[in-house]
Amino acid sequence: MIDLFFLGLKDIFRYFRLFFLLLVSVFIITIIFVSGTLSAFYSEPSHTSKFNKIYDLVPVSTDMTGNRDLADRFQEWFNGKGMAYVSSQYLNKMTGMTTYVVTGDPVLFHPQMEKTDHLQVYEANGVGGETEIRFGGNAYPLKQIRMEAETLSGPISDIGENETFLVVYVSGKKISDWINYEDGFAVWRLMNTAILYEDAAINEGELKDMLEGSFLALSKYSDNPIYNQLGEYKFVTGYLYPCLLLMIFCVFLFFRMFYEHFLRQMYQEYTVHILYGAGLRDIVLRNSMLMFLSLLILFFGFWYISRGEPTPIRSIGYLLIGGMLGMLELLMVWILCRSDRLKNVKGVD
Amino acid sequence: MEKSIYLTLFSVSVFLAVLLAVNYAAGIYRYHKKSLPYGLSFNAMAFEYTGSSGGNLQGLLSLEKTNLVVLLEKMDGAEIGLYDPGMVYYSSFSTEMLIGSYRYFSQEDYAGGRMVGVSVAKSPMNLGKDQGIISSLSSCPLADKGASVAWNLFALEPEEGDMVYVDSNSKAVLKKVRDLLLNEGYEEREIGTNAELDLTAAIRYGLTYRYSFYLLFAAGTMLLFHVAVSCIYMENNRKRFLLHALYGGKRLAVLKVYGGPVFLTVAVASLILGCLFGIVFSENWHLTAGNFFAFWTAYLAYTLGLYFINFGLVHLRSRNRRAVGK
Repeated sequence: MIDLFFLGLKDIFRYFRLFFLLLVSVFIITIIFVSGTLSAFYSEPSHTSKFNKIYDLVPVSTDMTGNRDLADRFQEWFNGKGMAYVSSQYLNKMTGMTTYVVTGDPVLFHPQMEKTDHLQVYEANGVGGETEIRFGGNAYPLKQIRMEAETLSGPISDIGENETFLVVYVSGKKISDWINYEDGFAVWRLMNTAILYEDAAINEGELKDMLEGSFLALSKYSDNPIYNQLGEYKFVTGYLYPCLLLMIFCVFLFFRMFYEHFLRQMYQEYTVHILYGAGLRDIVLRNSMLMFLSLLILFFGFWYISRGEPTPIRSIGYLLIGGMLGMLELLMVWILCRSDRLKNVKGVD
Repeated sequence: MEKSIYLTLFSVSVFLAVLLAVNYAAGIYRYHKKSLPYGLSFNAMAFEYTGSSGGNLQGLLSLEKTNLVVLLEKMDGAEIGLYDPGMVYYSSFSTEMLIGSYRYFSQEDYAGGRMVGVSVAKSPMNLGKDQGIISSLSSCPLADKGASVAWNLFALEPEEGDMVYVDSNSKAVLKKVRDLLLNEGYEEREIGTNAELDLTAAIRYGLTYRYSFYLLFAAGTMLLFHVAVSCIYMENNRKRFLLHALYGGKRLAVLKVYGGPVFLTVAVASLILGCLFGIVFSENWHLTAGNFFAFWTAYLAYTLGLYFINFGLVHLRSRNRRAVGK
């Protein structure tokens, strides 16, 4: 066994070109594949945010007279489709605290909030244990909620983690009574930051009817050629991978031709080896030194070069190196078994 | 002919791999060098007004498409007109403040041809409503060529020498607009992926950029492997060359027998498969037909050169030099 090891090393040094070219090709392909995957992983739009923007609302008029109607029409249309919230200047003044108005499904705003058919007020991150709050001449029942980092991830990004504020869940009431509808920004903000369920049925015609005569117009994100071409993502999946597949195919063809040539050159030596009692297994082991040494060097090289990268991506690299060399080893055994020359020397088993 | 099928397969797949790598480098070159003005996509088309017809752009309104951007460039970009029914520039570049005071182009503006404009200057200018400025976009590529205001397209009169840029994510819409503009006395100019590309400059640029460097480097390695593979092919046929020589074969005739069929197959197969790749990857294709044929010719010259050199080397290294050809 030790003899085979040294004989294998001797073969490698005699045919250093094959060894070197094999190392270079497998290493380059691994690096390109892994860094391409890494780039695709980071620049894929859904990786950075799981919320996809479908529509944008653009102000095309400065006429704010139809706003009250627009906000109510929006609330009606929006019912059962998701959640929308906006900071209300009108309530801020009345309560003396930052106040958000929520409509639709309140669970999307905070999991502790409940869907009710009456107006409900919540205090977020409050210290007191009050169960009632008075503003505008009326008393409303008050419940406590706590905002934490994970509830603030995603769409609700403009609220601080430890801020104390009120949330008014408007249910069964017209939203236009609770916000400054004359302020175009509030109405725009309410509608533009609305979060819809993934399976919510959105009829574009309905949306356009709703905006008819108002100061807003609909802009569809998927219509935007400028937005759609940004990012390297398309480059990588579009033709980096096909190119790499072709290159792997080239490496296999190259290895096949070179290995046959190698066997032809080593014919005399292997004949002597077989005449002295070696089997085909020994020749395979002897040549496997090539793969074994490549594997060691490539694993070490890849480990060294990818120290800072995330683990799943590093394991892709190791798998690729292992897989390619394993396939080449199988190809090698197949060529060796089909080789007539060695069979002739060895005779029939 | 010993294992010529492997040499052929190898040659063709190296051609395709290198073609894709060069295409990637060309894409990076086009993308990074911003050969497209005003942040337009690779689909964009350009037209120049020749004055032979009315130049009326009102027909765009009757298309009623929202996935369309049309730009009119006057006086080398110092003054531009914008038709943006999808509100692409607003949703990409607006900071969305002061709603109620400022707004974007509406359909009524376009239909009425009102003289209104959006400020796109690098440093925000005072928005005088009386001057027809209705909004402001910050760090917008519309200011790339020095324009400070993008006016309503239908308020401007096209003059001879003005450029019109059209962009959309739909080829059907682009075709409709193209027909419309050609009828109105505009002539198509090359831009985007149609524009002529300096292949050597693209490859040189690609070597400075990380991913395209890797790919081009790998493609170069494949070309080196090609040297080794064709060398092995000739080496394996050495005894046959000797036999040919003994029976009176001339050197060139022998090379013709062993290299000719392989070369022809590679030429035809790489041409057909290369064109097929161009169709399959048409979304991400950045080479022009001229670039492709130049590349194809260069590759074939490279292959032919390899055959000649390797055949010559085998001939030189042959022990009985006199016996191999005369």
